[in-house]
Amino acid sequence: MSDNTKWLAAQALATPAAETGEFELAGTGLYLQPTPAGAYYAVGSPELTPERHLLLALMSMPVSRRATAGDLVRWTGSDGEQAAYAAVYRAQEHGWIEGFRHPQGPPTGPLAPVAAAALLLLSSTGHGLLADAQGFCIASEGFDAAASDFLAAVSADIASMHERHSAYLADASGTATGAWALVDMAGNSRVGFWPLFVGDHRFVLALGGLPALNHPVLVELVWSLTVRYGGST
Amino acid sequence: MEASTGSRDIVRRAGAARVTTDDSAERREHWRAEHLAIPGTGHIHFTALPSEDDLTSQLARRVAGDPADARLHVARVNRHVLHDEPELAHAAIVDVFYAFGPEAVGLRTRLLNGVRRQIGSTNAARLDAALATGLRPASNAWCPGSMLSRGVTGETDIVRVRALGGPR
Repeated sequence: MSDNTKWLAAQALATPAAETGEFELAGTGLYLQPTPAGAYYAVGSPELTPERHLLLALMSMPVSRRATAGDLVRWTGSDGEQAAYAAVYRAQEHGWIEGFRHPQGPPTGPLAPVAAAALLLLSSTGHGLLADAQGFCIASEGFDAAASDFLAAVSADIASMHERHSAYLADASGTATGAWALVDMAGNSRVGFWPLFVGDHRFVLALGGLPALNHPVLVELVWSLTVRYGGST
Repeated sequence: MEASTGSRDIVRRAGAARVTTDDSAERREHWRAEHLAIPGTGHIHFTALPSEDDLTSQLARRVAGDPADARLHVARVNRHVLHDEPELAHAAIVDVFYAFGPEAVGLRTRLLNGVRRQIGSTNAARLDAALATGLRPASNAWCPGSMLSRGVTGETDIVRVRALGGPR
């Protein structure tokens, strides 16, 4: 887990959530979408929670929408309005969801340049790479061609290894993070690898230097992947 | 304010390069002592870890790992002022406002005055307006380089707990 995601997680845990009680829509008619932390959570695991269901549903559309009660029931996979509102409230309290006065959406056009532009902003050193489960390099910034091919292949191996061992790793390490990293003597990551689970597809985001996963461009990247590969929820 | 540099200098570390070498260095030193230090804290040296990270990244990581440590924040702000890095200085001061919320008004005021010229009037005015309250991680425009921002730029009041006795 990166330093800033540790902070985000700590903030989320510190947030009191109303697990019981009645909820209502704030009635502001906002166009909903995930925050960077929400995008990170949405594709950080294949396990489908109501919150993850909601976040993936929001990113399955090419443009954000105003939510009705019926939409929220459907998007959270809940069996009623109050259950749906509770899921939205939990996502809201974790800082996973936000609303805008105007519709938003991911950049249009081919995925590679969209991903490349995002990678540049997600690393303090401008080194980033997006690979698929087969080790194909979809986009790369800052690494030369040979390094990109090598890291893409390593990314696929790491994601596969993580998938095989994730359950035991969570127990053994006491953390459910799916991220792996090459670290220096001080424990700081030189290159980090984040598996992204999008529909039936798995990608790996590799970032050199200090990751900036709190950057809003993470939403654009994950949204771009989800629109293309996530299917409809 | 009459200021000396000795015991108030909490960012200098062994081997750290000085940005200027002419007379302006002395003026800057006085200005730093007035605005970018915590009086009475004595010598606090930031010790770089045996890492391949540069000092900028180390400070950023350590602020993220221990956001309540004022010394790290001051060292980080100092670092970016000394190296004349306006965007990073802005990120560092924004993180001070995120980290302490409404607390540490004196520290936040002092550091904000120290970086005011670098971060520009618009950014400074936004932070001036937040001096009493601090910033919440989910309450502001995205600031590149911030470690403590959640990157939330929209509104977060979507569903509310219904007030007791409210309409059903």
